[in-house]
Amino acid sequence: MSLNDEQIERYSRHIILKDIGVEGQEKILAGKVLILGTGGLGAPVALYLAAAGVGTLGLADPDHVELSNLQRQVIHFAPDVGKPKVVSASEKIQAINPDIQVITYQTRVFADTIAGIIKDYDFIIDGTDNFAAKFLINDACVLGAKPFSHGGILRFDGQTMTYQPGHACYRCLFGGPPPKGAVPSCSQAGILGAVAGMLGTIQAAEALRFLIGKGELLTDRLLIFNALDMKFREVTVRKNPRCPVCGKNPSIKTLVDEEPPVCDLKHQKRS
Amino acid sequence: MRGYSLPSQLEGEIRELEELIRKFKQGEVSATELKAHRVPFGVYEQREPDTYMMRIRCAAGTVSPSQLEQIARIASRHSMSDLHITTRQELQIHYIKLDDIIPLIGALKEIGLATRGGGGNTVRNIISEPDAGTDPQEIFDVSPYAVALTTRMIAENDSWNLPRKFKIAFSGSVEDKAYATLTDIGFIARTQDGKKGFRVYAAGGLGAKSAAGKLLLDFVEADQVYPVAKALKNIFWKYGNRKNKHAARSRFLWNSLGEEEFKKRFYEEYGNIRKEGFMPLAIESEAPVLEAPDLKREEAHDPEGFSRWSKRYAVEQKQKGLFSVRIPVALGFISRERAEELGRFLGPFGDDVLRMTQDQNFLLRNIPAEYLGNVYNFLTVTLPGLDRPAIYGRILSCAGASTCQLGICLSRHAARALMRSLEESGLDLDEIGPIKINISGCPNACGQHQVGDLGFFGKALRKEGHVYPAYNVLAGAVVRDGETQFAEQVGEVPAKYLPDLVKDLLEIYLSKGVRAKSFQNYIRKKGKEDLKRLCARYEKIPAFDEDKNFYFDWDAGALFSLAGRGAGECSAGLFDLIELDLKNIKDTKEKLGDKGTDPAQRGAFLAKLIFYSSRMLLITRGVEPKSEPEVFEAFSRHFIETGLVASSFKPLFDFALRKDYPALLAKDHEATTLADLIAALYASMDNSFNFQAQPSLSETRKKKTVAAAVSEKKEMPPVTVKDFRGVACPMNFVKTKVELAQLKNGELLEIWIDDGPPIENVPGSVKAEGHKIISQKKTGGYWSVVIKK
Repeated sequence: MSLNDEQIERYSRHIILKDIGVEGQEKILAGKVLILGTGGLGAPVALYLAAAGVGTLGLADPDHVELSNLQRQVIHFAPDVGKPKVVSASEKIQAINPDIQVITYQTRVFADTIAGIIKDYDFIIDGTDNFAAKFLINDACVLGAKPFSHGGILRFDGQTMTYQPGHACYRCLFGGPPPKGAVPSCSQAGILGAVAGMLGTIQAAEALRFLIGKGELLTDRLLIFNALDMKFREVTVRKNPRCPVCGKNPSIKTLVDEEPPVCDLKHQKRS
Repeated sequence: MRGYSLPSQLEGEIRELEELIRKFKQGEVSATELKAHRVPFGVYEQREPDTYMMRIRCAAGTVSPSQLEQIARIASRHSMSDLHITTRQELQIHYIKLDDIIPLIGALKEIGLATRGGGGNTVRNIISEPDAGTDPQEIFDVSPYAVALTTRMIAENDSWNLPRKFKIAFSGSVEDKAYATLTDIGFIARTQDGKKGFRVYAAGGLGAKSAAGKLLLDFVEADQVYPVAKALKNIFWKYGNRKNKHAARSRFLWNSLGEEEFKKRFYEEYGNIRKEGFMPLAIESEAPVLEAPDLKREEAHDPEGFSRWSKRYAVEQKQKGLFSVRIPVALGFISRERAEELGRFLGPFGDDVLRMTQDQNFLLRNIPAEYLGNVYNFLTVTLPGLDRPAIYGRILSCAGASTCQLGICLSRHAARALMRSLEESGLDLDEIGPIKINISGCPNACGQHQVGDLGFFGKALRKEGHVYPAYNVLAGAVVRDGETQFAEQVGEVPAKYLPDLVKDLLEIYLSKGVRAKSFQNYIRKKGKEDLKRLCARYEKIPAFDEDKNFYFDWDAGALFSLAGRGAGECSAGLFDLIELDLKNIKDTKEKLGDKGTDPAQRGAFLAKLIFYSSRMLLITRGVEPKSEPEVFEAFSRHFIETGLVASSFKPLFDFALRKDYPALLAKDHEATTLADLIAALYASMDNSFNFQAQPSLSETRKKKTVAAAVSEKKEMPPVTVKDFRGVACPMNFVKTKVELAQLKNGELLEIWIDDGPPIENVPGSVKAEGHKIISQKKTGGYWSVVIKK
């Protein structure tokens, strides 16, 4: 692949970077990233990856845009309320960068479909809002040997880590979903909109650095921040030999759906 | 005494600078171009981007009280920082934004002050000793000469584009308190046959290669000050080295011409000036009549404190009944509010009442004895801490690594740590008497370490792979007409032990050295031995794993490191580290060459040799790896992949890492060749850390072994030519990168780019990516740059 003049100009600020250059930008253009969830996290991830020129972006989300989403899900605008989120997001991506191929999946990911979706992508972004999906994504990526970025946000807090095959996974750290009701969801607890942007852009940077193959990813380390006091810290994560999915004697060998929490009343009513 | 007068062209020059700043903001002129005009205007950029500091010319180290008050007020309008007194008796304003530069310069002009010549290759502030005109020992008051020469020289256009900075000082007696024997031109007052005149020194200066001034004229009459100074400026202008700013000060001109030729050219110029005729300086007559201040007299509200204070700080002048009073300003920083109040308070005492000193304090003068109470009462309220022993005002330091791009150690923090340590020491500090403790953060002489009774300058030392801050310790300088000699180096001390070292020495002095009558006498004789013993006592620091404190500089939040330090004038700290490895290499080679060395150990020595050779120059690339694998990795990246060293050396690293000594013994020739090659690279390195590839090639070709090792350039590969004229920054660089991406390593690319910002920026950026600039030359209105990937 060689860059045309318009691409050279569009991506000039990447090309200038020693760690990206022409070679790195070509890798980005050839990259395929799947974004699961086009909400608070998925919105900034999709915007930055589109701007950066990631050649293929997959978007999966079953929901429609609601007025309460606009406080943080910056890829959706007021006239989009009511539209499927993947459609709204896809339109914005095309508006920013017509070079990008967008593939949309207007669906929740299920145990029997997820493996088929992720297999075509180089890197997966977890931008979902519930534990059932998070563990499903983790298990699917571990079993499918796909790198992915985990992201979680609540109130003023954010956490993220990047799984790469052979390293610690999300289950090594947390085992399984917390008991029902132990952790409130965003709609119950609230979220500072900008926190979604902070974490989403970190995830986007992980995806880009994975594609160009430079720097240290957040692999085997969990980055945690609290935006109320604006403090960041890192926790070293070790691969757990007793991990149910990636340990020595794994108990999870096929994917199963765990029941997602019923967390969004408005959405329930409509469907 | 009147201040200097501003030249008529200043207004126009300010407007020019204003226009340049406007164009810079619109992207029409480069930062480099602006800098070339901004710095000679006394405006430097600080470490923080878009933040500047400004140096105000204060001839003879003086401003009037109302000027001080106004400076503080003007500063308040445009900056948040304290005022700062420099070691050349100027006032400085920090933390100025780009947009505030012109308003500030304009406002200063309104009160008769200029910043022109505050920096750059210009005639800098012309100084005289702070007690000129009041010192009973002086021959005559020299300060009017400093002022009149300033007025004359700042009106001359050739004062602003000299090969390097040019400093002039006047001392009133052989005591040489203005360091006239250490400047580009030094005048020391004397009389001969009842006539006033000067002894003239030339080509002195402090810096990385300091030199005392040379006696040029034993006596010239006072009316010859201008033609002498003008002649020296002229020959510097004509013959000084403009190519290499590191060897440009007038002391280098003296060295390159030799004494005879320098003097010959001086007399030629001097003769011409006299022949053509010149206006003598307008010297204000001495001892103006002083009126009693229009102020109500006050008794000191604390008689005991007053008596202690006046003993420490008030000195009777040669004018009976008038006193000079030192105000210790810790490290030269005074808040704008306090400066403003001080100016207002001093107003009634007249215009000639204030001097800045070289140890960064204020010196009041012409205070009638009966008003000392007023001064005391004012100062105790406005500048608390002033009744501390005088030694606190005599610790001098440069800005150090906290704000200076060149700094190695945090000298100012070390000075503060020393003050804290003295405070807690319980020593009778008043007993010590006058003392100069001068601390520089690096070998450049901004902290004037060479002229201190005790001098320190920052360096980096290494223990078990970890770098820590330290100081070279100097002692016993003499500054005096005909006797000037620099402080002698007696040892080194870890930065963390500097306060203990000084405190212990002062304790020894107070317990048994006082018989020497003065600290100066003591330190020049017995004191040096005591100091050497103390250096030995404080030589060792704990290992990194035992106590990391020693690997942090004073009040520093991060581990001490030289990585990323700029290729500035002073990279000397880096050189310490390089020299260290050079010595390691030499020692290891000696062991290898020793027939008695156990063959079993030879392999280990070879591994060490490879390690030291690989590490030695890494610091010049801004990296400081600790472990062996990291060193080899970095060396491969910075020296092998860039083509400086042939890749055939790479297997050595694996052998060394694996401790495969038999393999190393079989390759011992390569290992020593690598060491030679690194030494040759170092020898060819210039001040910006570039290796002169060509000379080193030809040089090493003489030695067959090395020649084989260097990646030889047998025939020129084909050159791709690309025309990027008319392509603005940074797209020209982007396009260059795109082209380079299509080339194989070693292939050549020729680009054509425009003059101005493109040629100023693109080659540097290309180099930063690890490519090599083979040539760049101007053809017609554009540049051709040949790059080797």
